[in-house]
Amino acid sequence: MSTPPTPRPAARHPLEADLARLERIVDVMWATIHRVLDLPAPRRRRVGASDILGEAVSDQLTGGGVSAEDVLTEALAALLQTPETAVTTTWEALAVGIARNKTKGALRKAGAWLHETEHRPKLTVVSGDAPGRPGPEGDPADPPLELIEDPTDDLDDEFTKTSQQLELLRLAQEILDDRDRAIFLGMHYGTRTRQSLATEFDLTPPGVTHVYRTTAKRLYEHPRFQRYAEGGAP
Amino acid sequence: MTEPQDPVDELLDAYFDYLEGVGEEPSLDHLTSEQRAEAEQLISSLKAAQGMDPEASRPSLAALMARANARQNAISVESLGANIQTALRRSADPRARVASDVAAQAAGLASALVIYARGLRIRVLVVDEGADIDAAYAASVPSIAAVFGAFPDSNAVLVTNVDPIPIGVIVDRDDVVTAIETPSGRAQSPRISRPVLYSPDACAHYVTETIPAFEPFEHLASHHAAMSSADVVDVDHIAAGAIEEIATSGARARLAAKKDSWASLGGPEAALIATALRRALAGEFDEALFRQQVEELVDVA
Repeated sequence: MSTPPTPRPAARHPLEADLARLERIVDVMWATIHRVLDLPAPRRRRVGASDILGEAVSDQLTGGGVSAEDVLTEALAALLQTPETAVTTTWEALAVGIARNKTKGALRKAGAWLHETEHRPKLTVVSGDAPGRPGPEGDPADPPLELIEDPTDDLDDEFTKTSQQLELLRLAQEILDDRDRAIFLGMHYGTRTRQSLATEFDLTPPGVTHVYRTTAKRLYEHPRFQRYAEGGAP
Repeated sequence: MTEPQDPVDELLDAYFDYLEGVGEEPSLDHLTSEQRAEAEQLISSLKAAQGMDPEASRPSLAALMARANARQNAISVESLGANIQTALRRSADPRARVASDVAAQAAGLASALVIYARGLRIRVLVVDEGADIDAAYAASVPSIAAVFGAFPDSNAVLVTNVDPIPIGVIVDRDDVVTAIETPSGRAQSPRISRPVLYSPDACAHYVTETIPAFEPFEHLASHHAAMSSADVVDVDHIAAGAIEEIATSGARARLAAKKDSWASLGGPEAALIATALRRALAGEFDEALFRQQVEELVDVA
């Protein structure tokens, strides 16, 4: 019979003591998950020659029986199970790396369930690990999943950039009028085509681009975004 | 007349075409340094926003934490079950197994696992991580009693946490009821009667103590495997004992005929019975022949 080890009380995770920081980290993990999910079949692609763009990214996980929320839960559980001594950079960088890897894992698992069933036809999604289209010189591009940077990249930098994007999104939702908000969000996140926005707001497609540019400039110059861009939390 | 488009607007238009898959990636070479800086900032921001969904609202942190904890708990319970199974197989029963307690969960009871070892069934009630087992037991008495009540075949309940080093205690059926103690005669509320231990060891101790292991008797079985029943049974001794018993009874008989006839039984009759027993054990008993031999003995007498 083994010797009973000395029991010890379970330690509270250091991030649980700073919920505001944990909220920011989870926001970025959520955005990172969507970014990776979008890669195999980017939403910002035209469907044929029409003005219709691709489907929402969470559809990529349909075959795996999990949702983006499940991936986030798994990533957060992994983050909260990591002891402080195992963190070689920052919690923020680690969170980005975990979110990426968990999403890539979920995409790979989902691939096994793409076959046709009696209830639905074969799912038509772009394989994340098949070679990409040949480039101008005829060499096949890397598979989409391989294009996701390794976690050895500057994850802290990615965390900051994603945090800035989230702040940009919050600002756009708070300070822009309906037209500018629709144009900025539609163009910036690739959910609308210029043509559809031009039709809705009685503009030309170049006019839509111009509105997007001036709106983006206004947001970048906003003091709240400037503070964020300089590294300070709002 | 249409105004010429601003170079940055023009480049941005071309860049959107590129993003939407209907154009090549535009070059920034023709822009002035100021225009180029602005274009680079816009493109960099568009790249950083790639894939983000402005409409996707994430679950609240509290909900995520609850789900993450539940998930982690499930993994911990699974791991605890594997540890207990390994410990029991090593120390108590090579065929011990631990399974998810589906029946209890379906019935809404608190048992998460069920342990099978040496014919015993131990159900496992998991308490919060880091919980004090004595306090957890006191709070869980109704839940434990419900498990015993719903599953009368349960020999014990292990109350354990799922810490990295799980500790727990085995609770007997009697530990969840108020008992009148002797010699005081006072009512004693439910209490733990066994020590709090490393949970796999708590189970192993309980199984070993409750159902001690039998000495191995395989050698006996193999030794006797080649022998017949007649070899194992001392037929002569049995026959002689039976005849002696009848003769003794005959000596106490009041009827003279019975006394004489029963008391006269001895060696020849015992030999006849022993022979008949041997044949019967060998599956060769012949009733007619036996009757004939008995009659011959009567004639001789």
